Amino acid sequence: MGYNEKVLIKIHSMEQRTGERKTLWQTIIDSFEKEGADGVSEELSRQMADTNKEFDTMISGLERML
Amino acid sequence: MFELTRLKVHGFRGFVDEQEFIFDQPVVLLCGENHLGKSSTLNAIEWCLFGDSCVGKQTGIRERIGWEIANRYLPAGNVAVTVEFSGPKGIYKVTREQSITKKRGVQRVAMFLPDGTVVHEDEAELLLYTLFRSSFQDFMTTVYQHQEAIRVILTQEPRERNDAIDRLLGLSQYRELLGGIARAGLDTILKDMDGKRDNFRVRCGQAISTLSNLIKEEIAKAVREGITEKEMTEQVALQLAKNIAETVKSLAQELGVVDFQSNIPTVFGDIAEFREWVKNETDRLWTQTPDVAKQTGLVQEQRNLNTLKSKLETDKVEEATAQKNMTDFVKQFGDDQALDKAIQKQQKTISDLDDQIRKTNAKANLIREAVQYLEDVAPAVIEGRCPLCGAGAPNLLQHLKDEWEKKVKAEVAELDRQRKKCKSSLEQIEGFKYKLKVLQKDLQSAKSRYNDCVKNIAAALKRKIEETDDPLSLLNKCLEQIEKELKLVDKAITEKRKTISGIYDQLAKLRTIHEILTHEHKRGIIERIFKTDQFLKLEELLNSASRFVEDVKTIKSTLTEVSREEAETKINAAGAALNSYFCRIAKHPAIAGLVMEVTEDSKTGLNSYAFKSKDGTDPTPILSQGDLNCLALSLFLGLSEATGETQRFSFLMLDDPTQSLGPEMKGELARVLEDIANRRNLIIATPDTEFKELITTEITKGKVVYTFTSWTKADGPKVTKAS
Repeated sequence: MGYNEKVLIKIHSMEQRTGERKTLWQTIIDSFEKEGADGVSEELSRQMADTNKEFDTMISGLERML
Repeated sequence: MFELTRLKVHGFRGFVDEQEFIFDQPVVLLCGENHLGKSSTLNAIEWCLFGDSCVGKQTGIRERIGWEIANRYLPAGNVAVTVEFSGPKGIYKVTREQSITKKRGVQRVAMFLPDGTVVHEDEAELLLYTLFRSSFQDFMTTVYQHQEAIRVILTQEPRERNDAIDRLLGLSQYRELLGGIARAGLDTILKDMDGKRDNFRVRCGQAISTLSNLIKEEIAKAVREGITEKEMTEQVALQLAKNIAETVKSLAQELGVVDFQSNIPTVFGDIAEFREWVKNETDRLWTQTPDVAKQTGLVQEQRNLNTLKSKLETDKVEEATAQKNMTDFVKQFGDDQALDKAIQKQQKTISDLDDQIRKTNAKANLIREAVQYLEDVAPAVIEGRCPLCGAGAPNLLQHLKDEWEKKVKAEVAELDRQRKKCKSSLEQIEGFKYKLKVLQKDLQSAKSRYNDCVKNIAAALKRKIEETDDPLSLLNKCLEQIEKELKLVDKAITEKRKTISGIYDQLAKLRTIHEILTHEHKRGIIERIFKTDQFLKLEELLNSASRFVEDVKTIKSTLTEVSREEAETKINAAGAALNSYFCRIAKHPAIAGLVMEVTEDSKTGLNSYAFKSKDGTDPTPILSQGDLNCLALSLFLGLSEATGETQRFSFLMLDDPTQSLGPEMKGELARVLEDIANRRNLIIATPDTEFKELITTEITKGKVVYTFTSWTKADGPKVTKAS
């Protein structure tokens, strides 16, 4: 059994956010198999950057209300 | 698994012509003295599989820094290494080539697959990794027992040691995954977002406090100005604006502006724009008022006439002064005619004196010639007698000569003196003449300026000024008239000014109320900001980011957990072999047994490994160099078995494994290798003839021996094969 399956089994046994974590793990694995550890780092940074960018846009709008 | 079956080496390090090695027995021995090419044979296999990854500092092996691939004694051609494996579907062949002359030239890689397919370059590199699932580091710690690489496990920093053992156990993918997740820096980004949200909250609080203080001050000021708190409402502000607009409109009508468009705000938000409109319109109406326009014109005319008056007075004074200077001068030195006459008189006197001087000089010359004549024709004179009477007259001629010279000199000197005096008088009179001309010019200029000024006054007064008129009086009369008219106009516009002033007062009141209400409105917006959709969306984004980071952390800890569980499983599997191999080879009297443990690194969450004696103490401080080598070998052999299904290569390569080992240790190592040979093929390079004999006698599997007997620059290693 490879590390992928071992981690998946653990995720399935979790009580919360199983679906989201399974999807996230799949994303990590796909990035790792395509581009190695740097691919994982870049993919996670990219996903976080999307939220962060939207957050910055929203806070800039709120700042203008001050 | 993949079994190594064949190796061809050409131009690699010490090799010259192609050398082939056939790995057709479970145990292959590469024997011979040092520096004859044994290690290079093993190196050729790793270079063929991993290329530049085996060169340089990143290998962690000191000798690999500046490591040469190409044979430095060959002038041209290619380095070429071919490795052949027997795999699950047949024969797999890998070739790697590069130019001899280029130290780090472009490499060409090709992979030949059992089905006849050939792939090249990047595709071949990718396929190599996919098939063997082994990085260079993995290969160096689980297949190729290189002394320096194995010792890293025992002697380097804990982090590097743990990293190396993870690789030995086939757990490097967990470590890489965890490293990749950590490098994303999600915690930092989330912390930054949290910080921005908190900072925004703080700024909102500060803004509310600042606005509250401002409003308080503005209300106090408004009350002092007579505005009641009841008036500080939007309705009052709008009503006030309406009143102002009507006042402006009535002013416009009063001033006769027919096309005036009124602008009454209907909502509070329009008041700022309305205030600007009132200011601009009031200013415009004021400037368009006829009385104001007339006043402006009169003031301008008054200013112009006063300027002309001042100039006229100045020009008049200057003309009088020039006239007086002229009159005084003529009175003292004479006019043009008198001065010309005096000049002519002096010139004549000088001419007469010049004639007299010329005559006197001519007469003197005549006398000098007469004396000379006498000297020539009347020698008696020289003898001292009178030529007329013959009486004795000593020095008569000399006496006459001296008398004449004295008389002539005195006469000429007197004439020169008189001439100089006349010349000086002439120059003085000519100076007076020049000065008179200057004064005449000044007077002319002053008169001209005065006349020009009079012309300008005539133009300003729009009338002709005769010589008999007094321009100053005319000006004064006109100025008096303007003054009277200005008084009348001032009186006429005073009432309108009161209206304008009233508008400005109302506008100031409106501005005060407007600013207070605007600030209250802004404070209200900020007070409600935390309930707005935008802020709720911001919180939702932050929660979403937190959940994402939490999920990543959970996966990270799951990976850590799985990695540790797998490490424990493998260590448990290898533990017995490690203990057994170490005890068998080292036979250390103080170490009854060796245990390897894995724990979680509290800082990184990664696996942390430790070696312990069975009594719980750390054995490494009491180990000799030979013992350390035994431990490294035991660890490599034990863990290479523990890699289990993750290991794709069916062979182990050991390079000079008996360094620092005593005869007894070597014998035990040979017996341990006999056990391992039952599970893995072995390729062993050794210069140790004693160990070679032990292998020959202790290992019962089939063997082939390649003996490296010599090496020359021209031919490379000389190798013989024996089964």
